[in-house]
Amino acid sequence: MTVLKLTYFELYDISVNITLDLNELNSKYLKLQTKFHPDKYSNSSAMEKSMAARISTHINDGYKVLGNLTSRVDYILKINNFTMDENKTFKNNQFLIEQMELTEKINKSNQTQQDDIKNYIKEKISSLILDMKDNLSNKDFDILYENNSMIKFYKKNINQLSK
Amino acid sequence: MALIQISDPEKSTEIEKKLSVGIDLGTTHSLIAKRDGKNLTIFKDNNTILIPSIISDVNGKLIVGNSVSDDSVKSIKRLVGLTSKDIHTINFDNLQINTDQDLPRVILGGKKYNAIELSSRILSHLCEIAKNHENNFVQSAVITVPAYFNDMQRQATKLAAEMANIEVLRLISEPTAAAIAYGIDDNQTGNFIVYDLGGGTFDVSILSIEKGVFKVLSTKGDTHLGGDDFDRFLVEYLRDKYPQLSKLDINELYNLAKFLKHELSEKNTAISEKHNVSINLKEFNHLINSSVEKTIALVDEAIIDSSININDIKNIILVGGSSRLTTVKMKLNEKYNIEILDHLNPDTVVAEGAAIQAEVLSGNNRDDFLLLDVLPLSLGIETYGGLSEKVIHRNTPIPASSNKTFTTFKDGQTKMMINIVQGEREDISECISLGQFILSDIPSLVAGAARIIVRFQVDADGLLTVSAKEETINKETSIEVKPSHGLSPELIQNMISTSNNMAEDDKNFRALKESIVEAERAMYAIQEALKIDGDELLSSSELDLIEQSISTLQDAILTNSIDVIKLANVELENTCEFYVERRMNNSIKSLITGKDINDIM
Repeated sequence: MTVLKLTYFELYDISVNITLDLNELNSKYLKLQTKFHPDKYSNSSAMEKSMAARISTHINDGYKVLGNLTSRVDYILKINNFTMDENKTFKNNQFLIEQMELTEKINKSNQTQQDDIKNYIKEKISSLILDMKDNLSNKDFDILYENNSMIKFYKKNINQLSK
Repeated sequence: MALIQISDPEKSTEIEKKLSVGIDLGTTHSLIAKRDGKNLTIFKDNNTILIPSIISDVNGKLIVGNSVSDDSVKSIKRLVGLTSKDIHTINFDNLQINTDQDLPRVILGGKKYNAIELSSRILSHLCEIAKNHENNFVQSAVITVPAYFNDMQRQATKLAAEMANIEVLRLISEPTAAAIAYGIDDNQTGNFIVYDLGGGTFDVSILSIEKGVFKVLSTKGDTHLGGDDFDRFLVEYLRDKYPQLSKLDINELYNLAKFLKHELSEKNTAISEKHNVSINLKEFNHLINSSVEKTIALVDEAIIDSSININDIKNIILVGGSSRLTTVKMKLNEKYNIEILDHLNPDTVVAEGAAIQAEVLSGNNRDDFLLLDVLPLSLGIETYGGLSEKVIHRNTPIPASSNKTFTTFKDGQTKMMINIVQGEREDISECISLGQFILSDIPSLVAGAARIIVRFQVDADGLLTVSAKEETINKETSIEVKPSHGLSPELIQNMISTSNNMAEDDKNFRALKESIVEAERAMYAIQEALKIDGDELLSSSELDLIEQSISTLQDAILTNSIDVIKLANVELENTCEFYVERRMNNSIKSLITGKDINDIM
């Protein structure tokens, strides 16, 4: 079905970018589901029901993927046919050392230190987002992939902090 | 732009009106309700709307209602979706359980019945009540289940309905149903915690209600925590405190406990003069404190999962008889300081919400209403080392899907087994196995060359289906399902065909009536659609083809043969498939700002 071949960005009519307006995503999500949710087809033929269910699933899948920064970037890489060379490992040594230090800090931290660490990480993520925007427009997908991996690490750190 | 939307009430009189109901299939009692515009009817049986979920054997017939014999079966819902292996985990006081087969069976009147059969009996009874009041068959229903019911429990509930000849329009979760009643009847908007403490289960859901859209954000629960536990604690406590009670039989003891518990939702001290016992609120609080704490911890988890700030939550909606307890209200107040909404009857609010949803889904469509639900428990697959790898995470909006790619690890391997589990823990022994899926007909290739895409699809009822395809040669692999819950396809078929809840003639008559209604709906919808955009979307030869199909179906209806009508209906659907697809694509086009779909492909 043609609708199912649309990328999530096309489906939601949102331009391909690293960041997006979550309110816009949400309102379009509701608009689309109001049209295609299976409940709106409860009296329809079996064939229509199954089509609607497939479209509704596609809308939900897109909402989930676009609604989250790292999954959105993974998706951008995917629609640009970028695949990570599995033989290449994460080589940014400086980053790995920083991660080890951060983990140690987090384990030893008290409440005020935790807030400081959180702010530090948030700044890091903000600056990575700016980098990613550049890398996307330059089509530097290798670096974009690396940026996104770093953000995933930082997000894990934040999860550790809230535990 | 569904083809078939019969919303014009004048039009719908042309087509036989279906009776669609909402059913709250509860642990201790059940309700059946109908909604018609503003009018809500909760059907009464023996002058009560709370119909006991108790089944007794009277001279070889299964009767639903008040307990009449010592072996009457209570709380059968606790057994739904469990296997014989599971049942040691919960207290089945007063129930005699037989575990010879995969599905545990209770013994009643000397015969053995599984939970699906008995649930089906309750559902049949409920429909009988509605039928007598309305003078019309119950054709379809929205049935509520605890939000935290897993796939097996949902499947079992749906199967019970099928056995009772009820078409399930939707399974919705109990807290969601309650929220619908508050949202529609009470015109509430905002973010809500629905705290649902019933007789047997506890559920909590966080929902946002806005402009008729009910969006479930997160859900948590415990399928074995509820007011029945409180009664049990109270019975144990009373026995210790008042040795003279040992001469009472177990039913009398429970009745005494229930009486005292109800007294304590209004008073500080409850006294039974007949038995010369008393208990105060403090003692009772102490007894149930750890259970209530458990519910609070689950509410906390649900709030975290919803990503909603506690300050943005407007109200706590209370549902379920046990939410009336002072202890519960005090605890919630202390902890959250959010205004409590409890003015709709907590016993009937779930059935009411189900009835609203049934009305919406049965064609009396309201354009201003939509329910968006989530998957309550994560789905995963067993990976090496007995760990669960999540395939679809909990609280994902449904319907949802996910693809996983697998490969072979031996040269020439043509079969593969996938164990599908549900639950949050990493260790699969802590999750529930839904079944083993055996993929066969994998093309024989060198190890690692085959790419098998397994697709997990969860529908709007929260039910899972699995399909698989080998990608390198693009071939569907066949899947054999070995359900872990003892519900093999053969058993399901067997149970449905032997469910003799209706006379054969009745069944045939109804099936014929349904097939005609179905056919008329299909024709009506397509004719309406053609009026709107037939000329625009179809060539004249395509139009001829469809019109021909319609007239074939019209002729088929005159034959009064179910098979002929169904065949002609399927023919019509097949003929129109391309047209329906064009309409759907077209409506996406009109939704997303003015672009032609062909421009963005």
